[in-house]
Formats: sequence, structure tokens, C-alpha cells
Amino acid sequence: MTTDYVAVDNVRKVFNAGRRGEVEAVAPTSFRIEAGEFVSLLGPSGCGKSTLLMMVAGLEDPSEGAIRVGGKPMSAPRAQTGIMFQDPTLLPWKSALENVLFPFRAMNRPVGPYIDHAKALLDEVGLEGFHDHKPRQLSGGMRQRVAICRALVYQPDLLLMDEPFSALDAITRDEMNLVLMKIWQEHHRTALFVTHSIREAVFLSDRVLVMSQRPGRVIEDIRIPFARPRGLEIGETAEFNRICGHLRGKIQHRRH
Amino acid sequence: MVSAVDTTPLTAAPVGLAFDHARSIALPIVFGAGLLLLWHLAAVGFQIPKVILPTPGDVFTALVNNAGTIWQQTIPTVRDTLLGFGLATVLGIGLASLLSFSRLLRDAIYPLVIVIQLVPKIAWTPLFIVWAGIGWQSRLTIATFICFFPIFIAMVAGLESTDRSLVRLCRGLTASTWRTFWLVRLPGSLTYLFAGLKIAITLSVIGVIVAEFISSSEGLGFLILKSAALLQTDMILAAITVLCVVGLICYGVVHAGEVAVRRWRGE
Repeated sequence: MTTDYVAVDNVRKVFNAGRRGEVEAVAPTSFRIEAGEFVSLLGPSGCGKSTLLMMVAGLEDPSEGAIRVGGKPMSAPRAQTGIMFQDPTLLPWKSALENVLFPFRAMNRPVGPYIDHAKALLDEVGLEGFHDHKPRQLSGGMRQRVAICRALVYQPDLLLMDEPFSALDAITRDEMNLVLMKIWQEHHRTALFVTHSIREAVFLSDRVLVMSQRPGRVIEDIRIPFARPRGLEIGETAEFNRICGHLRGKIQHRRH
Repeated sequence: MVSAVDTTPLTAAPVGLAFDHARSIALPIVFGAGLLLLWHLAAVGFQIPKVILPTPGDVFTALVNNAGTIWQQTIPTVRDTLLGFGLATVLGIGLASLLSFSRLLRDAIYPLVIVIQLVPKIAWTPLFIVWAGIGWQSRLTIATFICFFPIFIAMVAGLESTDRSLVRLCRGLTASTWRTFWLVRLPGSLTYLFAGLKIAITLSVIGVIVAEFISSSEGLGFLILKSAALLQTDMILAAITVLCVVGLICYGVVHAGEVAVRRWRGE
């Protein structure tokens, strides 16, 4: 029996195929994610890592190759996947709590049974007392916290994150990494995290996949050995910096 | 660890702001009163005949003395204005929504609507009277027709302005097209809609008055035309005054709706 939860096999993505301006965003690439694993896709901007994530989410179709999630081939978005985008993408006219409950409304399911769960999630990410605030009244970091809760509230078995903290300042970003780490340890979903920050990838992940310049493909797959739970202090260790240096070398090496 | 954005409401306005607010109300009132005074002085000073330019006092007297008649004529005008506006709102939102579901329909119909709207809509009035007769039906048709375009165009713009990332989120959540429309696109388009509604409500009054000019035996438009024939200038101005108030109230209600929507959106 295999424990692979996500299987990406020779997936390739070409935009505007056969037309002028044809762009190969993702070169044929393969990787696996085990159930319960936190995996980061690390690469320079424009390398196709977000495209790859969108294909795993079912929001883009691969031009070639196949993706299987939970043993089933992907052809359309599935209700058991939680997604976080670069922007929080909250409904501006709804409160934080209502935004967290939005997935149930979107799927046309009753929200009643989940209100307590949604409130508990908001408290867990440090938003006690902000349940009824509108997105406009929240800071950027707080909005992404709401988005984390929204991605988790319907208890998806796969969490996909597309550079969710890239728009935040460095301090807030460290804070959000801790929040994500803590909540992931508690809920333990299989996770795929796209980032261009080497330190963020190493800090959060069980494994880091490095992608090449466009057309992107996975060129390196390394295991991050730190035990969990992790604190920000692991970022100061020699081992951490050695791994980061190695990854930086991989990204830069392939650039030329 | 968590830092909130300043959420102090603006109601606790400093003195300077309260003064600005008072000024913005008082200034036009004072200026308007000044104009009335000037009008009065001109009419009296140059001894302009009442039939050409009655004084503001004359107009007020005409208004009071004919309150019953004017009120009677106000009812059909307001009725047709509101019915036309309401009907156009339903049709405008309905058609715009329909087009948002189908790229094909949108590309086929939207340019045609824009072309039709380029023709001065008042020019259609006699045709509607031919089709719908000289009763309230034709006036309602004209009001609806004239109101429809700004509402429709604003609604199409509103629906097309929907945040793409929100639509993508819905798709990721396996929401149906209808759910996405209901939860995201429709509420997202409301501020645009109100911009259209504000234009439409003023146009509705214009449509009804023009229709009453052309063929009617009731309404403020009819009253103005009849008074003109009898050279009752004070009566014309009294009717126009009432029309002003009617227009203001209608616009105010739509504006209040807009404010409520903005507040609901957390703006």
C-alpha cells in the first residue's frame, strides 16, 4: 500500500499552446507527497510553481501528464482541498467569522453546526475579539489569519498555499509562519506550500522541492531534519543555515 | 502579538469637522435665499408683469391656494415615476444578471443595447404613445425605457468588476455558478448598481413629465402645460417647485439606500 497522497506524474503546462506567445510554464515534472507531509515548492519568481500548485488544486488543467490526489485523478477542484492564495481574498462586506464560514455557504451546506468550530479556529490563530470585524478593520496579517481559518474550517485533507505570506512585512511573516506551524501541527493536513523564501520553506517543511527557472521543473528534493515542534530559534542553528545555503546554491546554479 | 487597525468611528468628529458639516448645509441655503431675494427685488423693482415673472411670494400663494389641485396632479406623476423606476430596476438587474451567466449572450446583446441607448430616448416617446395609447401605460413605458439603460449598464459594469480572485476561490470551493453569483458577484456589484439607480431616478421623473407634455390629462406635466396655456405663470412655478421636492425625495431615498449598502460593505 502506498502512502502517497499527491502524485504528480510528468506534468507539463503550456499556455497559449499552438498560438503566438506560447509559453511553457512547467516542464514535465514529477513528485510525490505522502499523507500528512508538509512539502514546500521553492523557486525563483516566474518559475511556474504557482501554476503547478493551481494544477494540484484543479484550478488549471495540465497540458500533459496526470495528477492524482487521494488516489483519484484530478480533473476539477475537489471539496476536500483547502486553498490559500497570495491575497487573503476575503469578502469585504462579511465579518471575519462569516468569511471563515464562507466555504459552507459556497458549497450550499448549513453553517450552523460549524460556527463553534470556526470561532475556535479564529481564537487559535489569535483573533479573539475580532470575530465580528470586517476585513477593512483588520491588518494584513490578521486577514491572512482569517484566510487560514477559512481554508481549514471544512476540514480538508489537503492544504494548498500559494505564497500566502509574500505580501506581508518580514516581522508579520515570521509571526504568520509560527501561526501556520502551530495550527498545522494541531490539524495535521497534507500540505503543499509555494514560496520563494528559502528560510520560510526550510522552517515550515518536512521536504523542500526546488524548481528551476522557467520552464520550471523539480530539480532537487531534500528532507528537512528538524524535529517538531519547531520554534523560530532553529533559524539560528548552523544546520539550518547550511541547508539554506545548499538550497540557495541549487537555485542560483540553475540560473546560468 | 495581534495588532488591530484603528477602528475608532468617525462619529466622534472634532470641532473643525462639525463646522465643515454645518457650513456645507448652511452655505447653499443662504445662497438660495439670496437668489430668491434677488428674484423678488428684480420682479418688484423692474415692475415685471406677474404673467411674465411672479415674485416668489406669488408662487407660494399659488401653491397654497391650489394645494388640492396640485396634490391631485402630483399623485399620478409620482406613481408613474416610481413604477417606471421599479420596473426598470427589475429589468435592468435581470438582464444584466442573465448576460453575466453567458459570454455568448453578453457579446450578442450588450453592444445592441449600447447602440439603442445612443439614440436620445425622448425621441421614442411618440412611438410608445402609438403603441401603448395615451393612458398611464405609455407614460410608464417611457419612464421604464429611459430608466432601464443606466441601471442595466451600471449593473453589467458591476458584475464584470467582480474580483477575479474571489471567483477563483469559489471555483476552488466547488461552488456552482449560481452560488458564486449569489454570494460574490451580486453583492459585489451593489455599489455600481446604486450609481446607476441615482441617474435612473432623475431620468424617470424627466420621462414621465415629457410623456405628460405629449399626451396626458393628468399629472404635474399636464398641469404645467395647462397653466402655460392659461398664462398662469405662478402656477407653473408652483408645479415646478413641487416637482423639485418630489425629485429631491426620490433621489434622497436612493441615496440613503446607497449609504446603507456602503455601511454594510464596511466602507
